[in-house]
Amino acid sequence: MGPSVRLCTGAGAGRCAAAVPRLPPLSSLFPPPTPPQAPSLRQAPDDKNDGWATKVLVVLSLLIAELSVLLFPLDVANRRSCPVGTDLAFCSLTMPMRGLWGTVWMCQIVLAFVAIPFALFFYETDSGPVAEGGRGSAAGRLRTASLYTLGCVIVSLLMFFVPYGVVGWIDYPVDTLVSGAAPVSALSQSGGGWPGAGAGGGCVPPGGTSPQASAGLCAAESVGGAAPPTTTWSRRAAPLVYVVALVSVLAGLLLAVFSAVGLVALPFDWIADFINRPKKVITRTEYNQRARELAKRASELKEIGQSLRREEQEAGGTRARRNRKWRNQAAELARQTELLGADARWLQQAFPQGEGREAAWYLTVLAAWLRLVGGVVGAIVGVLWLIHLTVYLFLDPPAGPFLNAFFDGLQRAWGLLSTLAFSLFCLYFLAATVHGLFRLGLWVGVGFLHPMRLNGTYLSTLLFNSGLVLILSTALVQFCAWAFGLYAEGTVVHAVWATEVRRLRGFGPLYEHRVFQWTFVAFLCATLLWYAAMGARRRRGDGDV
Amino acid sequence: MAVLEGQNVFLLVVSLVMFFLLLAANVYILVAYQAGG
Repeated sequence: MGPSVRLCTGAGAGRCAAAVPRLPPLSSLFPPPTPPQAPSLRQAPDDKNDGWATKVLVVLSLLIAELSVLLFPLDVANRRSCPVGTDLAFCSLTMPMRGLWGTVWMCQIVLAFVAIPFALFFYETDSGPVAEGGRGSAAGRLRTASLYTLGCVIVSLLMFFVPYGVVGWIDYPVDTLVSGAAPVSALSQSGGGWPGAGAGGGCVPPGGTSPQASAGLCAAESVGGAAPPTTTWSRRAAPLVYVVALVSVLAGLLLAVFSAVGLVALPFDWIADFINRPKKVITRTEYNQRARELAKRASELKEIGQSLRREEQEAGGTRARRNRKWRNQAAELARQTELLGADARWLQQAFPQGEGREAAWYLTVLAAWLRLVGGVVGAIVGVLWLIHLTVYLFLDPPAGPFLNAFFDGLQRAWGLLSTLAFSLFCLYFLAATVHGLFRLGLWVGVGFLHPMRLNGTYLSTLLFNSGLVLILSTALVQFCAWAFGLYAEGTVVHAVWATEVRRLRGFGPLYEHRVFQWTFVAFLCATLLWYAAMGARRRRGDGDV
Repeated sequence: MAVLEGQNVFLLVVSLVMFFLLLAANVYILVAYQAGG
């Protein structure tokens, strides 16, 4: 078993053991020792001045995800610019939203399933065995990345189009209405109504001996007091809509998890960042003392990490990872490593160095206050989101339209204000989801895949997570279309997500049993409990490895 | 350009400001998280 060492924790780095005599440079703390339970793909040592194309791809992916969310308010504004009940085609100066949505979805799919995998493969062949084997030249890397990407694309196409060929249908439940036929001349002869239609007019009764004729199905409202019989009308889904629907349903569970975590964590973390901010520039003596303390903690963690690694190797990797105590120690080591990184960042901010140290300090203060404002606004918006989800979505039947009515009221006051407020609400949900993703990471059974770390994330990890954000954004738009169904009525996105996708063959049970909703609620409660537990633990101010 | 008046100009300005704010936020995420950043 690994050694058991009591360590100091918490932002501020002020509650550690006595100083050690030698002062190592602060840069020696970075990168912090890698926790053994967090496997990730091979990465380049330093990306600061390298990989510009990859960086552009990361920024572009995030931007497309945000623009896809903002396209929803645009769709609503576009619909609202045309009178209710009038088709958009009959209004002047309206935008072709279906075409715009199609373009954005295409961009998302190409980026998430072609461009990002290609960049990941290209990046991962940067060094190591492949390069050592003589295939590390640009042309070789290009060829390898292209082949892997081609494989990915083929697998993705099969995954999407095999289900599409088999069950790619939209099933609409419809009321059965049958009408007979009569010559137009009969209309004038019978004084305005169809012959046999009765006093109220209506349709032509079905003639002949058909079952419909005997059932009198011509009547639209009811047949003898009973509701008209229903049947299912099926039509092929558009291929692009089916692909995006499949992606968004697969991403729906992830969205439920990450948005629940993010809605709680984002305001908590930002306000905690403000509370734990450096309140004044510390003296050089204090800086040196704290740096020594951090260095001592770093070397202790390194020793523990090495000990755990030795233990893992001695016991055989898989067997060691099955050991609960080993796993707990590794998890605690990871947590302590995170805290060490946070304390090191705090120290750098509290004692800015170099030529622009004054500007750096002002930026630190400004960022802290912006976090406070963002945290408070985020808490308000988050609470409004949760109330809205409870009142309008989770209760059956809904208790009221809540935010739908709020945005409708704003729309009547000033359309642009309504669009702006709605955009900010949707964007905040995306921000919370991204925060949840970055905070939690993608768990794949044996560890977190590509965990994000401040100042410690490699480009392959950023690429992977920006691809995930792209995929999550499709599910997020679907979720918003569902949550603001009243406000967004008549929009293209509402027609696609709330009408077509929910009726796709095979997708129904997911919505009927409210799978996404209960996942969201479960993770929301879990996050609240986790934050309560962590708050109590932080107040105690210690931790065991 | 006659249509670019009043509310349209405001809308254009708001859209551009939002676009550049989002771009800046994305670049900030990249710089804040990347190794050695």
